[in-house]
Amino acid sequence: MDLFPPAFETERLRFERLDATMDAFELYEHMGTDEFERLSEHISKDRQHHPKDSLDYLEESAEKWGEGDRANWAMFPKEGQDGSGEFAGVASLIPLWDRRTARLGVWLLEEYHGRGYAGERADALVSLAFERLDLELVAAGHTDANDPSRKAIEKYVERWGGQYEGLLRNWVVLDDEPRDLHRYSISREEYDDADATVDLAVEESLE
Amino acid sequence: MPVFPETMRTPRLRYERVDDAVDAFERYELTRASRDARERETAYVTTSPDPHPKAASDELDRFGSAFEDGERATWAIFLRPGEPDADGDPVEPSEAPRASDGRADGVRKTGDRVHVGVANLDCLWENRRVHTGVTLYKPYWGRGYASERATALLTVAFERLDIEVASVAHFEGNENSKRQIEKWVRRFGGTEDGFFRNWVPRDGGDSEPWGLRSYTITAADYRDAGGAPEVELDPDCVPKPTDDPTELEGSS
Repeated sequence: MDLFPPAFETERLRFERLDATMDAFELYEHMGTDEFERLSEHISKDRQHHPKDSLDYLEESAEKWGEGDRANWAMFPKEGQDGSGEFAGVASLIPLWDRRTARLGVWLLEEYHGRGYAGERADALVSLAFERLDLELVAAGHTDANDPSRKAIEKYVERWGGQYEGLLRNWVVLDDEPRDLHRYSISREEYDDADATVDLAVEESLE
Repeated sequence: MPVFPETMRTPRLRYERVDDAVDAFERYELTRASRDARERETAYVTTSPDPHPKAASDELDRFGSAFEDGERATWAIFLRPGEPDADGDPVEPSEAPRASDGRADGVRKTGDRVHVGVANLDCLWENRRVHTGVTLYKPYWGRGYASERATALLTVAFERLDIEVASVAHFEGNENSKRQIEKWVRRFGGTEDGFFRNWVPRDGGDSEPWGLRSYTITAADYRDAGGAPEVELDPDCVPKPTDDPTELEGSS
């Protein structure tokens, strides 16, 4: 059985298992663009150069989903939102089971920046990591120059009572250049103490 | 030609590429004795002892390939002449703690080859970073050997390998490691970078993972601190191994 929910909704977003809801050509339209190249400057995901890249990515995504090693969801704004029903980006939850840790990752198309979607997504994934997957820690990081990401992470980490853990120097390599990674985490205890509410409706099958 | 020096020397210690310096039986005994001692003395053990000499032999082969491929260097650490116990006599109980089973862990009567531990350097070339590590056998704790060994590893990293950052870490709560690390990180102007929770899996993921406190020294830090002129890379006067390096002193 699958450990990850195939679909869920938050206040303004719908999430669906990426490889079940997007085909390679649809994904390539968004990840093979100059816009994605700009977006990917600060994340460890490269622009796709042809639809085969997109197919490989989806197949890898399906395999890791089945193994419980990584969940990638496509995000769609819900009805009433600008661009409702359109693909807006990808949210990831990567359990490191032997470390009882969930790593979070996300990217959003530029059109959807500045709406607080990243924070809304984080709240849902934090809740899934602790309540469903029974993990102990949720962790996230950003590279040195990625200010928008820093702001988004600081905001939700603070909301959940988490911590800035420190700097991992020369930790990720982007475009052949080693970059420093700032890392944050929220423990199960901090999450329980924060007692914040999460607007989350999980579906066990994909309609 | 390996990118790493096969031998090195610091004022009190010398280093030899481990797969040249140590044979499988010696490695087998040492990992078992060392693991037993560390398990008794501290909770901070991630390695398993080699279950049999063949495992030790395979491990040495892996160290050798990684050394040749420039991925990871592992050196055996020996005492230089003039150091206490450098003639291979077991450490007296009054001089240093020793195992209660009567075997002085790691202390070996092997002429001028007293093997006190292992130093290692992991290279993450794309990250232009190395990670440094050390295992010292129990009778040799408290002598500053770990810090001395660090000077050699930093010299390799910054003067030979043109690395940007050297990192080192210890489990939260391991005060011995913390003290030795802080000492040399301070000397070279490095920084403590943070505490990372649930960082190291324990018992293959069956137990609670450990948190890790990590530190780095950059190439600029190292140069500003004046480097480590006392380190000699590739000295040509390393004593020859003895004929029988497997003889254990005081084995029960």
